[in-house]
Amino acid sequence: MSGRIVALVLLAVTAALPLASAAYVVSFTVQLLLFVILAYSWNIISGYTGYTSFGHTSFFGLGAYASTLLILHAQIAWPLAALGGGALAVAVAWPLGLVMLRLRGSFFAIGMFGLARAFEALAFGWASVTQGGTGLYLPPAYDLRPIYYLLAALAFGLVFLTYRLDNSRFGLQLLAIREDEDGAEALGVKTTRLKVRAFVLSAAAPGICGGLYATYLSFIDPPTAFSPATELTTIAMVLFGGMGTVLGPLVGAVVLSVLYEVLWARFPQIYLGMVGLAIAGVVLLMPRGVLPLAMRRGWLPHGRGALRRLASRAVPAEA
Amino acid sequence: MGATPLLVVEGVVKRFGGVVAVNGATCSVAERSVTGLIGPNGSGKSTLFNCIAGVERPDAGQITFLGRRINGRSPSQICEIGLARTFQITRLFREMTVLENLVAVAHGLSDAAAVRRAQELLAMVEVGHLQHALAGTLSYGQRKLVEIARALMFAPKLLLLDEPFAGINPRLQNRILRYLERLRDRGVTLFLIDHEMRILLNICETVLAMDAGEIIAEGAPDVIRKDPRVLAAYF
Ligand SMILES: Nc1ncnc2c1ncn2[C@@H]1O[C@H](COP(=O)(O)OP(=O)(O)OP(=O)(O)O)[C@@H](O)[C@H]1O
Ligand SMILES: [Mg+2]
Repeated sequence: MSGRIVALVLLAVTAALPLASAAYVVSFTVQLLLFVILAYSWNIISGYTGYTSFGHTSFFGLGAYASTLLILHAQIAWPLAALGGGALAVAVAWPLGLVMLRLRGSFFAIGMFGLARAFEALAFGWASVTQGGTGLYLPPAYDLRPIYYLLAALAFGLVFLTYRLDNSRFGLQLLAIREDEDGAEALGVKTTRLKVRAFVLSAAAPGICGGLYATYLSFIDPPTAFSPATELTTIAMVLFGGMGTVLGPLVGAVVLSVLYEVLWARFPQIYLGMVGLAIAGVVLLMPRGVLPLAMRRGWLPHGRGALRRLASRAVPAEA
Repeated sequence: MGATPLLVVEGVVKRFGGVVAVNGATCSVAERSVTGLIGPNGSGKSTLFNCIAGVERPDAGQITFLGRRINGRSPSQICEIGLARTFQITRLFREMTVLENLVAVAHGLSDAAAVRRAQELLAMVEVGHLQHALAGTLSYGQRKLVEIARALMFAPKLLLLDEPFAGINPRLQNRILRYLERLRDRGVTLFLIDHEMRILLNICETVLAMDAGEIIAEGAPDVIRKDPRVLAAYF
């Protein structure tokens, strides 16, 4: 399988990168890994399940603060503290999902955006714990490579998880919710349970990643933790690559990250406008993103291959 | 009615704001029977089906299936007991393949078993060759066939069919008729809404007539056809 070879090459390159590259390349890759993690997480609830969230940085920010506070006040080792950040994100996402996922369409999107703003306001306001706008500082890490490798492991883990999801009945049922939630419900799909599960799943990795990123920066403040720019960039990446696909978020994250870097270096004053135009153009030309187009043109195999393989194993009685 | 009733509907009421869609409907469906439900447009037939399938909560009344009270239960609980339905306007997941449409709603089967079962059902309604086609690309008639196959994924004891014969040509109508007869012979109870008297005469033992949310007549199809109350409701 060529897919497996590509995955192995990517894995090898990612593993070798910090050993052989300039600090600049490593820091670029850390940013990239961060966006891969956020994009894949967002893809689960918004791409597969169809609940477009404009507030997923909430979980990133919560994880960042939780982990930083655990390190500062409980002297917990940073990898464990990052896991604590993930645990808090999950613990918040579960009840939140039960409430927020009653909202549909733009109401959910705006509700999530409002929530992220509320968390940001809390981080500003609760100064006795968060130091407000000053932010919290951690002792700088001497060796950034362990953080890099954990981020990479999380990113690859999410790609694999998404591949499994795409080939599972759980994934199909999420797609059914995306297309016609009432219809799916009428046909006996346990929609509430499934979408809450997807929401919680989509919150875990951003929580962990927030903790790792705060350790990497050795600093966290409200605008970094709950940044709308991070949110919108994540969404643009998945839109570009293809919502509800296995490789869409990866393609989107790589292409847009490279585009940002190149344009930022050449046209520092207007690069954001150019990125915006590029995204608008892509959405106009390929409203579903690059991957679905490639699948339709036959350049890439369609997703959900496991079911197809099962189907070809049994010979249908009539065909 | 000697046979035991599989489904009993007693005094079901469903209001939408000021509209009383179902107004104290009472009826029963005998086990292993084929029962038709007719009535003018807007008389509440689809709403009654939605109440039975758990999609709408009745404001009053009771629905019993297999001796168990099912009103107030969720659609997935009702499916699991053995009641499945098709929609008046087909509701396939258009961006999934035909096979995926069936597998997505499977309950308690392994993926391999779900795929096998889906293929058998698609073969039964003679659309096996469409298994990998996107549902959104199917013709109207093909969608109707796939919906029937999908409803059968639950191995239901009772199948509710909301106008399975509407808007398709007589050849396909006859095909569907044949499939329904085969299901009946396998012991599936059928409860179907339709306006086509030709077909109801053909397959139903009993026909219920509904008007303004109430069941106004019940009997053999050729009797119901001439019932003055039914004629008054329609004309
Ligand atoms: N979700 C809803 N909200 C508001 N009113 C509704 C809703 N569903 C049905 N109704 C109303 O209830 C009444 C009965 O509708 P229903 O669809 O049950 O009729 P029907 O007998 O199936 O008609 P048809 O033969 O045209 O399919 C209609 O007046 C309809 O407008
Ligand atoms: Mg109707």
